[in-house]
Amino acid sequence: MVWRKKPVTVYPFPDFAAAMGASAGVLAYAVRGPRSTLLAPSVYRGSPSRPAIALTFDDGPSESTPELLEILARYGASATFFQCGANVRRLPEIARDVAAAGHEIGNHTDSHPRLYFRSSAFIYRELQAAGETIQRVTGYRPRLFRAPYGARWFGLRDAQRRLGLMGVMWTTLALDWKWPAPRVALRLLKGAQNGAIFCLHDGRRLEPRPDIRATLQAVREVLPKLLESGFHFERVTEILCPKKN
Amino acid sequence: MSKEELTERVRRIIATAQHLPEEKVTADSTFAELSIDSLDGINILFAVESEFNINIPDEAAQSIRSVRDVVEGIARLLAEGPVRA
Repeated sequence: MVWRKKPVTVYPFPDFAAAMGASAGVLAYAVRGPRSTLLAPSVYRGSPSRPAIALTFDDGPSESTPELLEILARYGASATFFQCGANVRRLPEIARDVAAAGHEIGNHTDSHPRLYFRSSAFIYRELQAAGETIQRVTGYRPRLFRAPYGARWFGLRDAQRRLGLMGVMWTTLALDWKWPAPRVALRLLKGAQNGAIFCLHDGRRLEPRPDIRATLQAVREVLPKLLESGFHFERVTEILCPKKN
Repeated sequence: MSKEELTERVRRIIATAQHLPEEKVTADSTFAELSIDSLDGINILFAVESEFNINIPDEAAQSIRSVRDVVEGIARLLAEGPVRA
């Protein structure tokens, strides 16, 4: 198979801006990774002009999610949780607690499969089932999607379109499922920048009672340091679509 | 491509992305009237880029607020031709 990248045609911003008009519109600032749009549209960071960071947590909810919610609350940090439908059915109360705490909930498929080499119908069913479960349990309709393992495949574009989901990647992958807390924390501190999206995990796929101590400890360590450095934490939708002053 | 053809293509893109009947999306529709919010708008930009094989700068996206804005912006870009990256 020969892969061809879409030829990138760059038009000068001032002309386009003039064509679009100077008044404030409803579209958001979002940096969209050209390379990541081949299989499905996705964003990977917010505006570089604001000191905001989006903390995202995949694979939850888990039995340890409440402890993470306490840490986030302690620092007044909003976050985005990409939940698996199967985990939401297993721990519905915790899923509801996440939503009740004001965090954003995204779709992370139903059973956390690898999507590559899967049929379009399979991919659609995975996203649809997770979305339905999350909405039924939490009352929150996910509009964001993150592919398990970050791996996307043919058919995902259509599934996202049909279900109204925007793909979200990251600027920093914490590797918190395999690294000790100090190393995870250092990686996050190095990745801190305006508009960053951090990818961490409050679960481990569909594993019951997963050990996420490295994640919790790293978050505990990093949050106060980032706040001291002048950053604040926003949900993904906010970092992509900041409200105008 | 005529302005009418371009408008039709943009209307179709927006109707498809928003799951709306095409007749509901007119050249004069504002995004607010169509209940298109910021996230929807990003999805529409992706679809427009794919349809016209262009790369819209992120900064420019902030000023779009209607179907006409999209059409006129694309028309002007296509008329001016590409700039080498």
